[in-house]
Amino acid sequence: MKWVMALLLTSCVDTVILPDNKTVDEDYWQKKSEVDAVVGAAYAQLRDEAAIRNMIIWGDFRSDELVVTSTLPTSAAYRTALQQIYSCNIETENAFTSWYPFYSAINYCNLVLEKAEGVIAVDPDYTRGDYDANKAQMLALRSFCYFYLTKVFHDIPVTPGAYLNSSDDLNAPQANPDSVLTMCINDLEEASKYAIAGNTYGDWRDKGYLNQDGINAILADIYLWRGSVNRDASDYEACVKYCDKVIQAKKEAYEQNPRRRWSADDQEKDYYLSEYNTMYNDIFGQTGQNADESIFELQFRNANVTNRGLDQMYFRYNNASSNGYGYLKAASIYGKVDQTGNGVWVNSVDQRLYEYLYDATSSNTEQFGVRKFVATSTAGTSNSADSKRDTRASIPQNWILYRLTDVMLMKAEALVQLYNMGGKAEGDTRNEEAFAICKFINDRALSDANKGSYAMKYSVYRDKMEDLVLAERARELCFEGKRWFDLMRYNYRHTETKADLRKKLSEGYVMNSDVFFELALRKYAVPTAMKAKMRDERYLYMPINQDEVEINTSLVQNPVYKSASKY
Amino acid sequence: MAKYKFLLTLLFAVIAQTMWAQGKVISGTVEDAMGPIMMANVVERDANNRIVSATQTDMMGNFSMEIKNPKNKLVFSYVGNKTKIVNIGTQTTFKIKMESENTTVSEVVVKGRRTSSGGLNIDKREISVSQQTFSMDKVDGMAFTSADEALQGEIAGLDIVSNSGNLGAGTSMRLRGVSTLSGNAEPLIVVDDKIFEYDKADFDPENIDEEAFSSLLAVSVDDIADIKVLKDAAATAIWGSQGANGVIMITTKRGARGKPKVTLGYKFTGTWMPKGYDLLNGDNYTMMLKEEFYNPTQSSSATSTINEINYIPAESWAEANNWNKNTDWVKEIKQFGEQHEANFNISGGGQKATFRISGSYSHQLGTIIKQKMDRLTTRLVLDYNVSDRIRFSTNFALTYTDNLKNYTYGSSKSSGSHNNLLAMALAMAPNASIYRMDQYNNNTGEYFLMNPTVNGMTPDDGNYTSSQLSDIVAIGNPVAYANNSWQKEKTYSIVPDFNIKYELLGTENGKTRLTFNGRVYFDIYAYSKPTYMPGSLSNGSYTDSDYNFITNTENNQFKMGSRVELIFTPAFKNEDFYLTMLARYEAGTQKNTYQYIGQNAIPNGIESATIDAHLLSMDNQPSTTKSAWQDFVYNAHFSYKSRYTLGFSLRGDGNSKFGPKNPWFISPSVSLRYNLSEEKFFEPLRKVVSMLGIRGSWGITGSSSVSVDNYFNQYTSRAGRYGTGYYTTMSGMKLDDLRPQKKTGLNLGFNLGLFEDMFEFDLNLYKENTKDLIMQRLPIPTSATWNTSTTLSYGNVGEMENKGWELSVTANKFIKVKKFSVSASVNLAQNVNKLLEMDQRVLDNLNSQPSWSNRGSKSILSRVVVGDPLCSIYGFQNLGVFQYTYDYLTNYNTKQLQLQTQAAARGETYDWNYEAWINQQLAEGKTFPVATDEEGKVIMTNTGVPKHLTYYYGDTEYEFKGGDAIYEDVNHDGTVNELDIKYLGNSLPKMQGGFSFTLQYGNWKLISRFNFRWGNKIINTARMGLESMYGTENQCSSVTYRWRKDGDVTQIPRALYGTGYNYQVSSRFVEDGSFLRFNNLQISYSVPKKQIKKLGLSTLSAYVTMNNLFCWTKYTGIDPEIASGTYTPASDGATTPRSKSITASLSFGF
Repeated sequence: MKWVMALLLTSCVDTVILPDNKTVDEDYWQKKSEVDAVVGAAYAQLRDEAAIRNMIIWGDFRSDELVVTSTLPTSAAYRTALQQIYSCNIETENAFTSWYPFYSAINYCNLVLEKAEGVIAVDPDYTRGDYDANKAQMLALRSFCYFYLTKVFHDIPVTPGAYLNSSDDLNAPQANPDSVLTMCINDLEEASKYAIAGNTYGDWRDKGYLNQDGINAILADIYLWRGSVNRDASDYEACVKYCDKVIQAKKEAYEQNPRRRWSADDQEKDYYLSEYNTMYNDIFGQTGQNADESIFELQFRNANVTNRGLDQMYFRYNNASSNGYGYLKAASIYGKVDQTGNGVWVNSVDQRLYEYLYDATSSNTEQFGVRKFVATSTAGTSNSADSKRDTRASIPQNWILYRLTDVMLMKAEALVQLYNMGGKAEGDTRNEEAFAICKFINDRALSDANKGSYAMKYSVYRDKMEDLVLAERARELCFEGKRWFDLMRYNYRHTETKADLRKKLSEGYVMNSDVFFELALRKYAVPTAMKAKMRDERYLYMPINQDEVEINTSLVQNPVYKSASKY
Repeated sequence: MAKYKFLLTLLFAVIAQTMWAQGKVISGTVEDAMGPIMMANVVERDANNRIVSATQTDMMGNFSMEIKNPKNKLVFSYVGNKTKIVNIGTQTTFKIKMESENTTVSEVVVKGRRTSSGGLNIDKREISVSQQTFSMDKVDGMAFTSADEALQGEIAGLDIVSNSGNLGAGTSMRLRGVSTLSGNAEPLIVVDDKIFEYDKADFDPENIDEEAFSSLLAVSVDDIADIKVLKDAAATAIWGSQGANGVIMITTKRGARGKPKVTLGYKFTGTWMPKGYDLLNGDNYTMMLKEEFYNPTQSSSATSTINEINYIPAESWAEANNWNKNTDWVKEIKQFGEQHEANFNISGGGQKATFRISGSYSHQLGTIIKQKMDRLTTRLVLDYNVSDRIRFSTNFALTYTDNLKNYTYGSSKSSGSHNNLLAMALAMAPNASIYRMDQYNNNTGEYFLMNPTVNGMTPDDGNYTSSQLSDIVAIGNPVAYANNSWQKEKTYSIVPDFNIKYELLGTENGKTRLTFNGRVYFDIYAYSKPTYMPGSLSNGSYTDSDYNFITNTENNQFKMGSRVELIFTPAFKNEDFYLTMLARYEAGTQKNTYQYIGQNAIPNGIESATIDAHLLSMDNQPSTTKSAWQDFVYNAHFSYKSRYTLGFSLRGDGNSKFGPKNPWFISPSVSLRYNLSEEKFFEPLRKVVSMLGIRGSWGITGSSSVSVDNYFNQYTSRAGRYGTGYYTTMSGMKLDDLRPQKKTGLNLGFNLGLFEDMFEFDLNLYKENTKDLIMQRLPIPTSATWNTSTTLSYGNVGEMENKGWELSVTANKFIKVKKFSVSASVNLAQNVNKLLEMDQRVLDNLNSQPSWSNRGSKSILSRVVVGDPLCSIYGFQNLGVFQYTYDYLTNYNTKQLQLQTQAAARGETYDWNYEAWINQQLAEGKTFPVATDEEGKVIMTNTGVPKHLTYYYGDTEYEFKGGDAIYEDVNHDGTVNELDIKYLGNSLPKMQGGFSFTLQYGNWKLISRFNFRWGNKIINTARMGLESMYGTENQCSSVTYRWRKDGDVTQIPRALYGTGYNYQVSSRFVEDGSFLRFNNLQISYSVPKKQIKKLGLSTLSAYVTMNNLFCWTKYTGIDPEIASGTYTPASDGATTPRSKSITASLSFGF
């Protein structure tokens, strides 16, 4: 046998053949442009139909914001899946439990992190600095994905690297949120060292790629989340710190480049935001997007790619010509101006009311079409009828992940929590600071003539201020995939016992707070029925997809969910 | 290379000869009985028989030449005369008298002949592996297009099923069952020791919608000497990683020494299609449709707008005369097929060289119109002996085929799915006209092209066909399709090889021999298939994708390999020992290129596939594939007194198809044989039992058909844009740990020969285990994916077992009375397949829930179940048709209750028990759509009425009505759903085989061959379509027995347009596919030699063969010969059946 093996080893024909009709790994990773192209792929993964769709479902539909459109045909594809979520009877086969675009983005991030460094030696145009900038982006994007997933699923698999070979162990083990968040924070802080400034390019790349501002925004978000669950002052402080960095950077960038909004007679401001009459066009309009006040947006517009997930959810459920039939519409509380605070809007001159909703003040409507993202330009200061939507064959609409008002309100939320934390409120101005932020954001959205008619009320009580910030976030950031996580933070701050991020869902949980139920269940006719189906923390997370649990045997399913076949 | 070397050597030899010419001159004459011989060869040879100098005799038979060395020999030769050898010595003049060679050999009985087996020469009695040889002499004069047809029913354990009756469609061969789930399950074909395969990497046999090209067409049947089928793993192990499906070794004929022999042959075959289904004629069809449209709505106006079936007078509707015919579409597309085949071969040679040149040309017309195939094959075989030690040989084959096929539009046309003309003709509306008729019913001579359908539009709304007839419009006019559209499949193949054989030690048997063989071979293959679909067949617009649509498929292959081997056969002093062994190294590369394009929007009349037009589709499948391989083989055979035999082989395969991580596949094998009949004590019995042997073998073989590309991480640049920049995506993981499938086989064999081997029995029992089964689409966690695909392209997923036995019996001239003799052979085989183990994820993926919205043939439930055989059929159990409606019960009950009330009013008692009455009716055998319990008693609801049986699977709940098909409610829950699906049988035959008889009387010979399959089930999807009464396609005449009113007892449900569940996959369409086919009956006569000698002929034979004479079967389809997929059941989609034919052939030899 030995001589045979010896003979085999000295064989003279190379049976490893590189295919010449395919670009293979052995041929790739030679040039700077090739690295950049894979970096682009990582972002493009999150642009996937399923990613945007899930961000809307996970972030908005689960909250009090959205309901299923009443005109949805019985044959519509996701009807059952949506009904399960709405009634909190989610089966593990539910279509909205899939997490693949996030993990494929993570895979691409890991790929760049593993392969790009080697290009420095091959291509003189690709410098260590270029690599560091790419590395920062990829670390940040990966952290963003993990952070998002842990907010939705609690315990998630953390992959060891790019999956290049079928012999790799494909069953990544599940990690608890505490370790995921720690990992994200470490990675982001590492990324922060090399990240480029938020105004480097002067074009879409400043918003399309993660830069210093984006990294700081994600860090602020993570600290705010962890702080809310752990009720930890140092986390809130870190949140404020990173929010300030973003705010400062935005301010400097604006002042260094005085363009449209700051003419000579304008005075210097703390924050530079578009005025009420241009804000929709700047931030969401067909000719706008990638606004100055934006931080991180998934780029559809420049690539002229339809945002199919968005299209389906808010515009046309089957991506076809049936205008006005998105899967989801805003719940009734979004359509009513109610000064008592039971609705979302307290002021009828709030420009956002007209920009973000169709038929906003119509009294006999139970659900309202989402206008944000869908409309191509500003509504003016009156209702736009749902029936008169803009018709467009495709929606190359950017999906916004972070913008300045979000960061400002995060800061406000953290400040409110820090106010009077563990001591007396005397001399503590943080409550006032938070109020100032909310007021600034609210005021800019009010149409000029009536600005004075609504005065936001400051309160010295932390609870009141907490509610005020939350309500302002609902007005400003509705339908942008934020609300459910706002509510979850709110819940974690008010549960009787403190939740523990180090425990997996199968190891322990806390009961949800009543104040959370009051807000979260507003859209239901009989909230008490829903309360029983959401009694504890575990129900706030989504189940892991059944296929995933069956294939990756190391995963433990969220114990409150079952497969359809088990019912 | 070998050839160039040879030429070079020759050149040097000639130069050397002229330079060193010296010495003495000799002269002489050569003559034979007839006088002096002109052009006789005179050659001076040295001790090694190498030619030193040569000359030829002149007109008077004189010669003179200068010789090199007086110690050499002079060799005189002339065609037809015996060669004469004379020592030169001191003699200077020679007078040579040659004798004529008597070539007639009466009967040569060769005993103990050592035949070639895997490169070694082994006595037939010492063969320790399982193999069977088929000599082509047996089927001389029969008309086969390719060798597989000749083998059908001849080899125990080789199940051959013809793919269809279309020309060049080929067969599907399975040796000892299926042992693979993906890739090719066909045996490996080896022609003259060269692997004969056309790379079909990434070719998924489950997804072919068309017949693949039958590559065996490239070997002319007339050139084949014999075919050896290697069955067990020990026999196939020397083919290593490619031998797992068995090996079919074809040996072509070579030249033989002797006078040049010329053979000319001509065959004529007439073919026709067996009679198929009786279909409805136009009048019955419209009648049936009216009922079908009426039944669901019960509305009197259900058909009022469907002009096509209303026999509207021509004055009121321009299309009327196109829709009032009785067209037999099947008859219109059938034809009597003619096949002409002419072949010639010339062979002969002398001591130095032998040759055989052959050529054959065939021209065939199919049994369906516009099918035509031309084929030209030529082969040149040349053996040149330089000396006793060195021999060069070459084999050069060239084949050209031109197959004009019917156009198929399985995938290119969105509306239809028919992909063969017969299926189209079966389904086409028989009331439609072939040619367009004008309003006076005159034939306009152009094909009738139906108006388009638009949903909701009727003929009264404009130039539309009623939208209810959209099925019919989608099919189109079959005759027009046949005549105006086409596919032209062309192939060229050139297969040359060059060999050198060098005897390093002894040159004859009985001496220690060491032989070196070297070979270089090439395989060049080109395939092209342009197709054309003219706009004249489409009722769409100029911009429609199938309007003037052309496609072109090109596939080229270049394969090159070389091989060196050493064969060592030591001579033992004790001749009871025999040992021979072989070591071989082989390496080669292969490159395939493939391209497909589809274009439309070309101007009318242009058919060229290379025109500049709108590029509609271009295949992004592997357009180029390369592979390289190398292998080492060691093979040894040892025997003692022919009593004990030991065989051993080891092969190491290195192939780029295995991927970088598992570069080598090792196939060892061991085989043993003990011949009891060679023992001393057996001698008294030997007169009766001439052979009694027992064999045992073990071996490992493999198979892998994965494309090389899968072993690399592939990138796609410019996959899309993020922002303004293009990005690059990765298409998936690299399959670095994929292994070839590994099959371990055990074989136990018995050989028995009686009466000097007049009767030979060969029995084999085997058990084969395939591990690491390769399957496509292995699911992986989505957390490990790169895109939406959550599967790996391939993975090793399970284990399968095949167990079985084979028996073949031959009786050679077991009856012999004077000139009359009878020979017979029988073979039987049984194979039991079982899936032992399978990755659960793959099972889940394979066995996804069927969608019942696509009813009928599309929803064949294919299940792969561990512990069960593959190709099983699952569906509902059909129990006939409900005779009565539910209302019949309700009405009867109401009436009885009235009677009861009336009786009570009269003060009488009137016994009435609803439940008891229903049970009584059921007991009488009447059927109602009511739920019943295990005992067949009706289930009553809490309101006292019988529970209505419903169909509830996936969509809305449907209450069964009278005339609906009855599906067994297995769990008696009152609802027919997925829980009532049963196992209905299996498509793999329980037993298969064949037998043949040869009767000979002098120069007359009669051969009959039969083959059979038994115990296999087929889903008759053709009949499913022809009895569905669901759409508007034409139906079989059996539907005239359909249920029409309460009380009808029939097996055919009522006609229901677009509703109901009457034609689900159920036992109604699952039929027994057992058959016994009288494959060939041949009568031949060879004219006695004496009579033809005057004509200058050496042989003259005439043959008449009838093929596919009878087929005894219970199967109701046209032909039960339907192949199953690798794991999906056999379903009969009305492919062209095997034709019946008669062949007459003549063969002349000079």
